[in-house]
Amino acid sequence: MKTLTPLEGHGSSSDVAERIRRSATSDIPFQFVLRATAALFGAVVILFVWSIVHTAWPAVTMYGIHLVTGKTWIAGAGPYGALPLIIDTLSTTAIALVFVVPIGIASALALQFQVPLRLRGPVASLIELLAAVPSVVYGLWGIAVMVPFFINTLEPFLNHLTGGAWPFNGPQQGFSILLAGLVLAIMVLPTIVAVSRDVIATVPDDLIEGALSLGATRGQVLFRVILPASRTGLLGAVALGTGRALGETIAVAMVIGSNPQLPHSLFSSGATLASTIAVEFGNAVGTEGSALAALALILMVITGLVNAGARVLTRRAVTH
Amino acid sequence: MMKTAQGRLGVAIATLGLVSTMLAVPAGASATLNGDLTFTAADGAASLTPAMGGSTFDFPFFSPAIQTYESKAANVSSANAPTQIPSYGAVGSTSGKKGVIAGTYAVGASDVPMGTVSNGVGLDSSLLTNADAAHTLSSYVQVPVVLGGEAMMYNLPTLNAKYKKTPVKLNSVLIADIFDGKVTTWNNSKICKLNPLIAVVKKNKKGRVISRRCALPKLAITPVFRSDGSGTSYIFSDYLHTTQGANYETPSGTEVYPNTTFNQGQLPSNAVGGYGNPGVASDVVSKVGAIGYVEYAYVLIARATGAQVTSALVVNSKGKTVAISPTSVAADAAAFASTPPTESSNGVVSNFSIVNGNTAGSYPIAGYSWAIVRQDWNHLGTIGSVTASLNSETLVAKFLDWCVQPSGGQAVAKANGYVPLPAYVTALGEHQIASMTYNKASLGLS
Amino acid sequence: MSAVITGLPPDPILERRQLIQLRASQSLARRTLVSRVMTGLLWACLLVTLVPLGSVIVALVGKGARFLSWSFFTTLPQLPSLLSLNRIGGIGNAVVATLIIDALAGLVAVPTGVIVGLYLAEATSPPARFLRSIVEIMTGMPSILLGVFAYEYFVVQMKSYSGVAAVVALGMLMVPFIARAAEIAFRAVPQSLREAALALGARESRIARRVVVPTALPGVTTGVLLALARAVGETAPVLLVVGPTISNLWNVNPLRPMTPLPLLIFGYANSEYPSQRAAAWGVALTLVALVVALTTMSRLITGRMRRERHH
Repeated sequence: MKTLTPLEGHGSSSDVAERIRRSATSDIPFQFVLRATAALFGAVVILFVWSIVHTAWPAVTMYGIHLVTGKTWIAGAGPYGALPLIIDTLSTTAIALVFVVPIGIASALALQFQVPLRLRGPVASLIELLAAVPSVVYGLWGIAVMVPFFINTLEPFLNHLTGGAWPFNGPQQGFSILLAGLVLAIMVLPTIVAVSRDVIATVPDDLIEGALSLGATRGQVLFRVILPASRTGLLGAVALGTGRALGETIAVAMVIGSNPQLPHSLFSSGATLASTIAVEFGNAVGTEGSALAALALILMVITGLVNAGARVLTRRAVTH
Repeated sequence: MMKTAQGRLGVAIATLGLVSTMLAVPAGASATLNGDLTFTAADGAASLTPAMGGSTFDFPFFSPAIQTYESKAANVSSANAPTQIPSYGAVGSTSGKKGVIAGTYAVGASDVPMGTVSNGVGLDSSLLTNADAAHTLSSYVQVPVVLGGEAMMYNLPTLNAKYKKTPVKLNSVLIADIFDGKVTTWNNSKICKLNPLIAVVKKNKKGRVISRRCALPKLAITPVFRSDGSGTSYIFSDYLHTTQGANYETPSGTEVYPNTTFNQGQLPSNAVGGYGNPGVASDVVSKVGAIGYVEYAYVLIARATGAQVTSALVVNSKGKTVAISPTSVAADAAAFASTPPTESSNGVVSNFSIVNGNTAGSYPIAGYSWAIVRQDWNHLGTIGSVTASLNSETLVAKFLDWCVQPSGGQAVAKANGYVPLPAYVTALGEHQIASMTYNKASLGLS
Repeated sequence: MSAVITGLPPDPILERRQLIQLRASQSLARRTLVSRVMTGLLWACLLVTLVPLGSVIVALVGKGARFLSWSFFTTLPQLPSLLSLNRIGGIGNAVVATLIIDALAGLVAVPTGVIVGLYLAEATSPPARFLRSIVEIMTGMPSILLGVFAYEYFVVQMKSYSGVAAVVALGMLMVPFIARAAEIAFRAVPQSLREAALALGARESRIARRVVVPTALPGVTTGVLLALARAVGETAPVLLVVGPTISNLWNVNPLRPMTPLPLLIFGYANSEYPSQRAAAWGVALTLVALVVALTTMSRLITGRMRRERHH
């Protein structure tokens, strides 16, 4: 995706910019405002990171590695072991990705190449609109529409399907990591479709026409030419969706059932890092406040790793 | 930048406050402490709404109480009648305590008094600013405002329709087992055994019973907990601790989360957490087979809005089966009349627990809810989003005083499913409010 | 053909050709089938995407539309109680709170974001590269973390939940989005334009003000509107810092607690009163309409940009 690395392809312009800076027309107050604002923003961000580390520090020194590996999270009293929260965060995100990656990319392909031109605009607008719908609205939809659907229809059906075996076993309460994962999937889907479509649209027509002239079928063009050609950008889209799913708070808090436990099945209630911060922050003092800041730190590290991983993969894909 | 803006506004408000205080003092303080309101110039001067917040247990009381107070104040033909009444945020007891310590709330409402448990949200020094260096528990006044019972609200609509007159009966052991995840289905033999009336009975021609089959459904139980810090949870834990003993002792003395009392601290895997009393109530309403502990008013609201939920009958310490009602909750409180709640000079409230009363008519899961407020607002700067002044403190004290009066707030409480405070508790409340000062001088609320 | 000329040995070339034709037609049939299946699958996936999303829209409009009226937008909420279960009132204070908070957040974030974007577009120094990675990291930062920050530095210090604390959290959320959009827009300004202005002897600030910013304006505006649309709907950071989830007070002072629309949806969705749970849809539809208005504006601007570029 070109927009991710705006520096590339502008080498000459930055030379000119450098020359402008050194020229007599250079404008010191202007440069000052530019740099001061940039520095201020950088400083606030550093303050932000520092404040979270600082607040988390007492809990970090108190619990050490148990903060990450501890299996018990007891709000208010401790111990504060975030392992259940980390596992729930990762599993809800994984559930979302399992649905979103194939369906989202396939929908983008369908939208770009299959849907009649007249319908393409409206459908694309609709999807882009849904990408902008606030997460609290998806949470409301989850509570009001999906919870009853889960309790009455989907959970009994899935349970029957596997004969009550894992992963569709256990009490059927509606509120579950499966529901949280599905709500996340539906939330992230429009973003993935919209970004993927933008990426796919940048595949050069020459490539497509070349493949067609060699007698490739429509399916072959889509799957053997367009997908490989746009894999870097698609990876970026997936990374974007993953980041959003990991950090989503309010929609998850509304449907996951707020029970910090290691999941026993897909029907298990749970609590993610972000949802726990949202629910418990209002009443947390002392060690618990610090432990919640530590959750924030863990979340920061996980999203950071995902972004960094995506960037490494993207770069590798570019060099190949 | 924000600080200076706030500072300037603060100075402006402080100046206004000072001027009006000087005007107010000669006018004298003459307030009658009952349901009828009279106001002095000190009241009229408060131009901003002090923020109260906390317990969702007493939210169904505070919400109509504030509205009633507001309309009463509007009817008082005095130029001094306040234009602003405190507002109430239903955020949970623990948040209420945290708020009043941090100064974000002028009044924190909690179903358990502050500082009664060593390691709970007593006083957390990390929330205090330098100005509060001499801050101790005795810096607070704790006022009992409502008395309420906690219902075991469950959702079994089919059963409810068939056995209208016989709600499910539970005893303390079963309640503990259900919320511990040990009893997981409604037709568990222990529940059936306790509920012989909920059964399909076959009789022979002579009318002799030949078979009796438990009619409770083969349905999973979903226990619904509070996910946030909660005094409702505290009262529930207190009940289990009192009846079940050391197995249900809170491990580190923290009072607000029930999960500290269960299963070595883990919620059972079939549990769901709700956000506030409203969250628990709406979770129970939306899930057939769910059971949760909520203030009685929430059952009344749910039933009044058509939800097929029922409150379980509970076996009390005398072995009698009692339904939750204002009468049975009042009976429970009355069982403790000889040991009324008191506040000692160091600020510790004792004898506040009223679970498991030992009279035949008492419903065993009940408690008082407390309004916690700083005793002296001088030099507090901002509190509850208003400038701490004689005016704002008087406004809040007067409102709280009205809340505890039988003809004032307690009438509202009664109409909304709570139990009016016993006279000796109202007296404690009045005494507590009367001990509020501004710059060490009494507020003059008589 | 070979049937006519009997006795002769089979023509190897002819056979080869027939074989090839046969294989080719078989292959084509197979490939067409695979292609059909694949494209069919794509259609199915698009359908799978559209059904739940459609359900969201149907629920929003179906359950929310009946609330929309002038008085709903302009009057205060009325809190229900046991004695008046169905009181609901309007959402006037939440609309006002949303407008105030997001306008202020925009006021803080737009200049900051645009200037940071300008700096990133112009500079190539190591600090600029560092700042660029900060901006990229911040665009992916879970928004609730900004709430934690705003609580520590504003709510605790001011001893009050406040609109300002929400402004800080939302402002910090918006700046990186705006900066990135602005940087891209500024980089897209043709170098020749700048050089022309430079040749005319314009100072840098003048070039920025008169050449770069106006040329890049549509791109910047799009970024600003999208960032605003995101901020308007944010709930998680706001929940920690701004005020009660349900409020029935007028307040236009951002130094005091406020209840913007997303928080009210959260409060109503969690309520024990069916009237409030129903009204949550009305609030949600209002919020979505606000967000759609912002995104539509940005799309219109982008559309005009594209058309102008084609001319």
